[in-house]
Amino acid sequence: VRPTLIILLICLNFIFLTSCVSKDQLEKLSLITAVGYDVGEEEDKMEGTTVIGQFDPSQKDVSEVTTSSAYTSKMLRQKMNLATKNKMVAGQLRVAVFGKELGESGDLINIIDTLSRDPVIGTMVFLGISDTTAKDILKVKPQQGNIGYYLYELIQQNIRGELLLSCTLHEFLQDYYDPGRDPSLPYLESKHNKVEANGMALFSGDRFSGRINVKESFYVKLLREKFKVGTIELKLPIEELPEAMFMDKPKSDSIYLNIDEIVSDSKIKVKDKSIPSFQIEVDMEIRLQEATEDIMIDPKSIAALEKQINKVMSKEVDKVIKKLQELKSDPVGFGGIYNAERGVQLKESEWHDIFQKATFNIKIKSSILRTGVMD
Amino acid sequence: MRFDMMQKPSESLLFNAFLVMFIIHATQFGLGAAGVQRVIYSEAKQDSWIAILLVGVVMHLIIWIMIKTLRKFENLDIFQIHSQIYGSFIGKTVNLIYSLYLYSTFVSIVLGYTEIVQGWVFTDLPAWIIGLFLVFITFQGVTGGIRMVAGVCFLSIMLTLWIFFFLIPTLRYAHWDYLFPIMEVPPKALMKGMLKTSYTMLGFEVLYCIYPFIKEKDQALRYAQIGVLFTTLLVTVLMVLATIYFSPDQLLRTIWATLSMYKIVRLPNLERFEYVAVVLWMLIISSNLVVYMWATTRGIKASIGITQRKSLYFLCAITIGISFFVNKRSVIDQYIDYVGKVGLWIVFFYPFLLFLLTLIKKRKKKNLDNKELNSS
Repeated sequence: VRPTLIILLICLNFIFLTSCVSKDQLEKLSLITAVGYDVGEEEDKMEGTTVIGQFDPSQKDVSEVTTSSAYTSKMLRQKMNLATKNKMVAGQLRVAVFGKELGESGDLINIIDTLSRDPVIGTMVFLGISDTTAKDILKVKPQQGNIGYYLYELIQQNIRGELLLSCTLHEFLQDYYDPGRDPSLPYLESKHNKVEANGMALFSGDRFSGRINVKESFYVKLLREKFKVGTIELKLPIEELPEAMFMDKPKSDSIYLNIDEIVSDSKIKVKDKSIPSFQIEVDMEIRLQEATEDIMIDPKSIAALEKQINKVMSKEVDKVIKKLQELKSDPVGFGGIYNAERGVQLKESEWHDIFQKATFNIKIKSSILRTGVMD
Repeated sequence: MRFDMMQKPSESLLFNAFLVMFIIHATQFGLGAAGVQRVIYSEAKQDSWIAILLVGVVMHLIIWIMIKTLRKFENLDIFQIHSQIYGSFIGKTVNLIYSLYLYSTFVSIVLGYTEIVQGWVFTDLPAWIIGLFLVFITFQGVTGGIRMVAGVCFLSIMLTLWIFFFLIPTLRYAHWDYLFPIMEVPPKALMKGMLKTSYTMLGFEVLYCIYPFIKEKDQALRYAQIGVLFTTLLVTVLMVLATIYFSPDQLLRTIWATLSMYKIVRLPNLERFEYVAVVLWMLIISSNLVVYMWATTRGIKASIGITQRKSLYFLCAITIGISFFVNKRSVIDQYIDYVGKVGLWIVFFYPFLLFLLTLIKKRKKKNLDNKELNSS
């Protein structure tokens, strides 16, 4: 209304409102970058591990790992707060790791639910399962920096490189609350003060049910998503290939191929609702870069190679699906496709039983587009 | 009966008809859009977007009825129409009830937004301070009169529309099969979903209050329809995005789905976009607040005769008082629910009744006029 009044009101804001909310000074905070949860030694208790980094330019190595045990995850943080100089805040949380035992117990979902409830924590936090305990993973000291950020970068670059399936908090919950799909997380192992993501941990409902290796997770991804830059190594039997395509006589009875730059697209359809049976069609465009034998690059042998690749891959996919059925875990989301076709909402528990009976018809069509810069 | 209230408002108070579109949309679109998805989804499941579109059709019909009613009286707003139809005493009572509804909506918006701020950003900020802020904005807007109110609506849309483009990254995590099977939800569930949708769509009843101030009255219908259409489409898009971004049970657990979707947006030097969204939501609801408060003071003027400025002071003080004492989430939710239910009757069903009464009234008057003509 009157400019002086408005200016006065704005000035009053600066005086009064700055003390409305509790202050957080960056230098006086411990930023949590990673958390780990394990089954505690006492019954019902759990053990938490927190990696904190301090924002303090004067110090170089400022990461710190603390552990405590409590019944709830929030209490864990409060207990740890008692043992640190600065106030702990979770706004910079990047990775949450869970011990295998905790994953098997089914308590995992409660903790993840708590994480998602906290508005401070973003939904792009990565989750992972530890081969042993979460503590073992978080105790690893990387060459430089903080294990929280290190794990984050490690997982992120492998997701980008399409070696791991994406495993953000949002995707975990999305898959978990979807009756026709199960979550999967990277399976982390610590070896000689190094962390390695070794395939994916699969879940059946809220329980960890088994692990698939990197190669198997490639096929899961092939069915579930689209590849843009995928890589895989294949073993083809020599006898199935025409002899004319080899420059020299083959040294062994199988040839290994490394195909990369895979661009794929998969279509899954329900063929018969009663069994149910699925029709899987995958189209792939690939680049052949490396082979253990010298091969001729002409249309005829390329066609023969493609045919063999399709055959071997179909077999592999079939094997992986069998394994998924055994583990009662459906990370691909066949259930969702089945559900969308069926019309009646699927129940959470129902799908795992139906999935085990399902049959699959796999058709893979690959075409080798390029073979590198040499002939 | 022809006293001063029926006079045409002075030329300087009128605004252009195209602003109706902004006022209608800005009033409809507010707090509900932050988290309506799970409410609709709980009933209509994957067909929720169909429920929203159907409600859209119903709203177009109601807008048409409303304009038909208003045209019969030319320069009157709903409060003056009430006193014409019901007579002086009952008319004033009805006006008071109508104002009470408008004010209750205002309070529900203040409480609802307070809840968002406390849930998302400042957990330890006292509710009454947020209330004070909102009341301050409202006060500023309403004292400027109807043209200022229209301006706030225009600006609040123009300044906030861009944030919806930041929902595009959610498509990366979209599962389109969550939308299927289409049209498989039983009609009863779809109806229930429509009911739930209507609660968020409330707001176009302000057309009844702003009508006398529109300069080109013959174009009001068209622009009101565009405003409603835009709301319907925007809510539908938000619904579809939430349906494909969240899995079924996940959506049912997410209180503010639209805000939660912003959690994945990351800008180079702003890691968490939802804080921006929460703050900008204040701009979105500011138009709701201003419009509702303005309409309330108009209603009070028509019923008790207190000037708009005086009742504004009074209502602002009460609002701060309410936000000081009411801060339990369960109570607030129940209250908002209740206001929505009452609003459903007032906004969606009452216009038909009012139109019917208008027809009867006009026919009576015609008969009376004819009689007078004949007798003389």
